[in-house]
Amino acid sequence: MVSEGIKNKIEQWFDKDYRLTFYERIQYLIESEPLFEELSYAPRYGKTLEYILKNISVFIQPEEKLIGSVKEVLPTDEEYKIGAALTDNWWNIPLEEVQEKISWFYSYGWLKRRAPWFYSFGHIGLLWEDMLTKGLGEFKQKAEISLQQIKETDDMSKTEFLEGAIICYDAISQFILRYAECVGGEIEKCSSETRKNELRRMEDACRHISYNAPRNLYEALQLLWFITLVFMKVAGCGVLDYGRMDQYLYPFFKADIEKGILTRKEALNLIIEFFYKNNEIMAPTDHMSQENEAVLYSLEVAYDDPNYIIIGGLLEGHKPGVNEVSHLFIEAAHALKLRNPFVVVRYYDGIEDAFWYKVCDAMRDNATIVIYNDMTMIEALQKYGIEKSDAYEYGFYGCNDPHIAGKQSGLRQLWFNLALPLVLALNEGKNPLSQDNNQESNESLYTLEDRMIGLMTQSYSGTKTMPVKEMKSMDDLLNAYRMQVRFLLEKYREAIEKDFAMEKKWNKGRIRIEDCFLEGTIEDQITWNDGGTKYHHIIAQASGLATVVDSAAAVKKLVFDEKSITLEELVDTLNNNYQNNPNLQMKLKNKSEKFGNDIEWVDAFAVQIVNIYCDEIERVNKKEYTYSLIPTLSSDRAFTTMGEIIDATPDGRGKCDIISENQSPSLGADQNGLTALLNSVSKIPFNRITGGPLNIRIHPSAVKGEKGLEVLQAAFKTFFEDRGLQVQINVVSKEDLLEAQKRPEKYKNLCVRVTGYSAYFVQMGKKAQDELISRTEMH
Amino acid sequence: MLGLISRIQRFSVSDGPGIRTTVFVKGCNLRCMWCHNPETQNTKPEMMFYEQNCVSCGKCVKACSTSLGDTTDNKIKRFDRNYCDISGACADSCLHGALELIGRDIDSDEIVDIALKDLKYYKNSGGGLTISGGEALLQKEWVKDIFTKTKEKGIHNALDTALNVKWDEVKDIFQVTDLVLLDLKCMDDTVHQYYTGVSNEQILDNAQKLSREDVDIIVRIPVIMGVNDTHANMSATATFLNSFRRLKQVELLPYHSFGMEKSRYLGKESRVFETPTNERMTALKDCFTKKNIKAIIV
Repeated sequence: MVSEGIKNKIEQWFDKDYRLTFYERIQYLIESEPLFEELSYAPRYGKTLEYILKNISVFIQPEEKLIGSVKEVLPTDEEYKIGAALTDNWWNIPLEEVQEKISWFYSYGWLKRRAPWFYSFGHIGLLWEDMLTKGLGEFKQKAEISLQQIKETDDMSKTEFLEGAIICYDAISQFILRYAECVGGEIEKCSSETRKNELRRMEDACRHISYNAPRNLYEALQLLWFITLVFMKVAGCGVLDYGRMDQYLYPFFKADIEKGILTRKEALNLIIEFFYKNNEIMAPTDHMSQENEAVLYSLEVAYDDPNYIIIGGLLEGHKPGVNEVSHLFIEAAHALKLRNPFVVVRYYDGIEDAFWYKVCDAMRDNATIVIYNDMTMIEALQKYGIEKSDAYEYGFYGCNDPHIAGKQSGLRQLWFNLALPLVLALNEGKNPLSQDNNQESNESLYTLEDRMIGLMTQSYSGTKTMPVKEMKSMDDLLNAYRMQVRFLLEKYREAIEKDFAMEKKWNKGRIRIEDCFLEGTIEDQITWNDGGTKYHHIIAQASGLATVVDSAAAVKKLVFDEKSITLEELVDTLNNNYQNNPNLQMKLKNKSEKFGNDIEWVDAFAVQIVNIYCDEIERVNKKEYTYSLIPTLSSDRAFTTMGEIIDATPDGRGKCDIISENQSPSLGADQNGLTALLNSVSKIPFNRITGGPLNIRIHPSAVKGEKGLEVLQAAFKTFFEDRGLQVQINVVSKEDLLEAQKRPEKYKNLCVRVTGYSAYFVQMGKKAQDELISRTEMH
Repeated sequence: MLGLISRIQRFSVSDGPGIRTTVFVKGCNLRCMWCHNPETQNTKPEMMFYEQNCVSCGKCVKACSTSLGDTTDNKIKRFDRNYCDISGACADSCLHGALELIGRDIDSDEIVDIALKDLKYYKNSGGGLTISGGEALLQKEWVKDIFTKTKEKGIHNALDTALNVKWDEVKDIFQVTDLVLLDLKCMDDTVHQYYTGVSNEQILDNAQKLSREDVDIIVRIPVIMGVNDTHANMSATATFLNSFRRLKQVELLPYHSFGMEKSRYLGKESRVFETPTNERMTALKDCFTKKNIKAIIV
């Protein structure tokens, strides 16, 4: 199915030198710095984009139909030094100044190569359908009309914002026209008549879509690709939510087939090429293994984070959405099994069998596909202010963050460490790992850095709650837990509202490339960051659920049921990191009931904890706030870092050890088989949770052959009928993973789902590899 | 009603169709030398000692009900089978997963409850409950009690048996059984007696009777090199099965040595056999397909 040409290119990609760099971007960014210094923010942004797009190389590769590539070179030592020094030059300033410039930055890695006058952090979806049905020209016209409307305004930032946007549209159009010229030049040189015809069509397509709406599937994909290239590789706006590609591409596919200008096979090949292109521009790195040589070296702005493609799902009015293009996308994902793009299939009750089996078959073959459940997602999103008709259009960007493409703000997040309020509840609000436990002086609990990154990196203390010696039941403990969650969320809300008030002032008119393709921004002359879009969310990613559930189960059993230890004694042992009672730790670790084994009374705590969390999230969401918090169960790979601020817990976990990841049971705790795991997890009230992965590793023997497919599809279907939220699997044995560590050269294409993204196993850091190996293996 | 089991496996995918819950009973009246579940042979509980997990902390000795600790002045720090009365106290005390008591009495209603937990998975996959062993029919009344109740709940019942039992004593079980996983070893009785300790006369006779019952049958044959991996044996088996009207398929299971490790944990001797090659397995499979019997290699 995959052409020899693409197969060879993929082979070469695996052997790509990680030092290869799209250096032209850096070069022209530096060159352009003094040129537009006099301009205000948005026009300067536009001019910078225009300058880079005017100067970078355009070229086409042999045989390709979808064009648009970046020129990669091995930087000289001198060039590398210059490129690497940029981050320091720009960002080695007090954090307060960083905040003034960009407000929010996800992680320090994302500051790299992003200039203060030309930045975007991506993690957003665009008005893809409008782009394809209206074309770039109409976007520009919309901006021009908007500009007309505010002619009389005194607010220069609005005028400048629109002027900046118009420069951006033009810059992209001109860039596409450069490709038309380039293809035109190739026609002369080409000796094959077939290829000549192909090139003529490509040239015509480029000219057309540089301003107008695409006329067929090929042009649609080509336009999407040009936009992707500009966004990711030039503007640094990656990790895109491509939205429901099967839905917005279907009309093109259908019309082409009816006109007889496209066969199904040709359509599939185009999609395969689109997938390939998405992977080609990625660096051979694993961005979550920051300690890796390749990641440390990289000079790219968006190196390996995936774009998400949403397939299947219900249409408004609860109609089934799977169509022929949905099939094509799954076939492409299965044929290539690349890390990128990241395909999200939306399940719904009654989903077409043939499609469902195709999805499960690709997944057991380790294609980069995950499944989300419409039957919980659509309901859950509406609980956090998303209108029903928009909720049907949900998608995701990385990692596992819910999104309504084109109508919603980009990523802002709070990784909420669920284990922290537990420690606080056991210690009257004091944090045993903290020096400063004066609750009343906690003016701003969250440091500026924590607010800007959205990660709790400090051992915060909490609010005064009932001393453990007075606790008479689990209700007392859970109530204290609730009070601590409430305190932490209220403090967070307080702190970020102050930030937002200042940001609004600083941010005025500071355009980012994505503002050009969102609903509300251009019409109302306001960036998404300042409230331009319909929806604004802070993704409140709860982490460590199983750690808290297992701890609650242990307290219930030991303290309140068996009464073998008092809660005071237990807390004392925890504060000693089990040093005074190692046997108890072993017992709690190895011989206690844990989440993930389908034990009713244990799983009941998962329901309670998630309900407490969601209740308290809802409490700190008020109409007057621009941003509302929206809860997911997602830790990504940060569960290691998050563990570092957490004292020993009653589940036998030692001080500073890792907390549980994403929706999963504590590492290795699920010992009762796949159905027991799924039954436990599906009890979580997912009608209140809007995202987050469930990682499952399955031994290949359990899902081999016809029978294996039957088993897998049934397991997933039952889980979703029982209202589970998400599944993603790795079908690989422990032996193979260990072998891959030993002989990476033999396993270079072993692609694994990590959390909200896939990685090539051998490119991951040792720590990440070991984590994957120690996940429970389902037989 | 109580039955003795070794363990329960949920998400079992190799004991009948679909996703199943498989209950392994304890106690068997065959002694197959290649047995891959040696812990299910004895009709009494047994201790498994996973030596590699032992850290010689001595907790098991202190907990031991045979007062091993007193007599030896605490010099012995590890589990010692010679003193064991199989009370299981040591396993309770072990925090390192080195000791496990295999064999517990479990109420038939509890089995039904556990089976019901995965009812939806059975429905979506065409799966159900399998009772395997050991020899399940040595506890026939208990099995019947379970199957009667699970059948009422719409669960598909599969029984894994070698049929080395008196027909008249067990025949009513098939009224509540949907599928029999019939274990056949070999057609030659001398060979059968040598390797399993019992004659196959009763087994084959019962198999004939079973074929006239209103129940689906899957025949499972462990294929052991140098024992039953001959063309003659498989052809004879195929001929024997030719008249079985509800035979769904024959499953050929190439020998594997997983049982050896378990024997070591049980402190038992075990014998090593060899696994037939893939080519050999395919050739043996043909013995059945030639006679129009569906056969697969598992």
